[in-house]
Amino acid sequence: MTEVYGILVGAYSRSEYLIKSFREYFKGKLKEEELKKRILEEAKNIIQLQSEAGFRYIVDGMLEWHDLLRPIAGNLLGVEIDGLARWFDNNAFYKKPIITGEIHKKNSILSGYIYPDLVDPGKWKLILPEPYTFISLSENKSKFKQDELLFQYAEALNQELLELQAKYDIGQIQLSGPSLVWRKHERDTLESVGDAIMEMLKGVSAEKMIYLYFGNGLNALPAVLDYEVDVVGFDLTYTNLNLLAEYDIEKIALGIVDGRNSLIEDVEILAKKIDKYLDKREPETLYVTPSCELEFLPVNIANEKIKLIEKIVARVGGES
Amino acid sequence: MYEHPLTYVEGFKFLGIVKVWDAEFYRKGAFIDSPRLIKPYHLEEFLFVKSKARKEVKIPLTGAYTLADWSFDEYYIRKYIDLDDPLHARSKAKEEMVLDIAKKIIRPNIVSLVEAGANRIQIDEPAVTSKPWEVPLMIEALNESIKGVNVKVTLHVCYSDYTKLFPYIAEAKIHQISIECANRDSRELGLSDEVRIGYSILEYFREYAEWLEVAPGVIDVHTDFIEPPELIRDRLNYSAKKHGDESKIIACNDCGLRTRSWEVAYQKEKNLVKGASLTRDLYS
Repeated sequence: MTEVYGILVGAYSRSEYLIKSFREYFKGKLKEEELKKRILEEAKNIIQLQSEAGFRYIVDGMLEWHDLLRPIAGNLLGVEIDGLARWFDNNAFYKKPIITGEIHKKNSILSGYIYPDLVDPGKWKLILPEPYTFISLSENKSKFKQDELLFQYAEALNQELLELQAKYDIGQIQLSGPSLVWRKHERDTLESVGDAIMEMLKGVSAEKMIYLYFGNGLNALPAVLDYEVDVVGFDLTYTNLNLLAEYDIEKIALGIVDGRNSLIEDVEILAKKIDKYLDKREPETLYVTPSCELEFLPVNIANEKIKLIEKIVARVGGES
Repeated sequence: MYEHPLTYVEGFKFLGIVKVWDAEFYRKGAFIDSPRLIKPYHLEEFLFVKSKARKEVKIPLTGAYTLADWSFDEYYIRKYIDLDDPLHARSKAKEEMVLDIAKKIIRPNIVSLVEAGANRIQIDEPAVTSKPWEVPLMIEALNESIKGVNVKVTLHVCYSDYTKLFPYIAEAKIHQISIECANRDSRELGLSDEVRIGYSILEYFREYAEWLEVAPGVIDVHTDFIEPPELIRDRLNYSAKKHGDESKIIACNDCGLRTRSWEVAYQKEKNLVKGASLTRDLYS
């Protein structure tokens, strides 16, 4: 019997109030303590919404992450932050990391960006870019080759994860890998990424998930099934679920709710697609997720998407 | 360029603000029905500017592709949401949305402007290369937008990978293309490839669409640096050499100057005129 749960897979939408608070802060019109207070209030609401929807793991909203790479790029030695670059095919931008030397961890990377204390023990979900996504979205001005940088990044982040694990009871760690599916890669590349991921997650006891989005998940199959992770997730706004059903995946996350469109989909239409998948495959665990981060939606629509996931999980027969 | 036009469209509703980066945002909405133009939204401004201007007026309009790409779709996708292939479903819905906007919103606007005496319009499509596989759709929508209308058309694309426009751009029924280049160029004088790094794309136009007038941006609109006329001259001269036909090169800004103060904008435009004049001297 497949257990079905809801989870999120990325940063949450900032409210209009919070976006404007950041603007005031950048202009020097709002003190840092007040901004932080507003962020935490909003994070609590986001956590509560997921709890009420019965999500298995809870993201804290990642409201201070201006983009997926920024906290990491800003706190690693050997990495600087440069100008804007497009975030895949979105009308949204990230600041490109510039790799200037050997990548090292010095101080804590994520303190100040995460709020695990707001979430019940064992429920907090942490999301990080997997090595290839971080390195390939950066500009390399160092003397090191891509393979070397993948491992330097993996080692630095592994230290961070082990330090976090010593402090907090982490439920799930998701590695986000849009760059692995945005284009199709050679098998050799995907294999060396797998080795780097193994290094990054060495000694991690939380559930380990890789989430592949903004591209066809089939681009990374079957290589990604050999990665040392527990869960593999796919963006179903790019990936054909019927074709995905040809692969046997024990724990799978289905990004079936469109995270980039405001239409609140019909529960039955999406549930039937999952039914069809479950007719062919019986994974141990199936996570129902949005296709990507919900930060591309106005916050009220993002809230509706959480409720939609709750309904789909209930309909498909999971524990919510 | 997004919110203003869509204020005049029935079948569209604004939903809320979304982050673009850091604390930058825009008010985004969704098409919830087949769109209908409430009234042409550039006409009054055109008539006012025309009454004051001493030269021909060019009217910029946001193109159908960009209006669609920057919006949510709660209408067209419904027809295809049940399909197994999600890429095919989204592609069909997007195509219908973009072409509907071209026919029902953009073309009526252009017709009203031309009837009021406009001879030159500009269609802005900054979104187009974010999804390179949709460049042909943008071109199709552009051609639909101007179908049957006798007007000179400029296509403006900025902050994009222009190589993605080729070879499709040759199918666009336009007279001129305006692109941002100064932002990616150096400020040094000279005509070497290393110094004029922002203008290498001109070669593509020579190869694929040599009949098109090209307006490479020689003024960076994101800095208060006032480009000296000599720098503008070198940028234009280099563009002419790369293109191969100096008569096809038009002096232009990278994009709109809205983010600059009036004082800075005016100085930049004065030098644009001087730089163009210096370049003409080289070829006279």
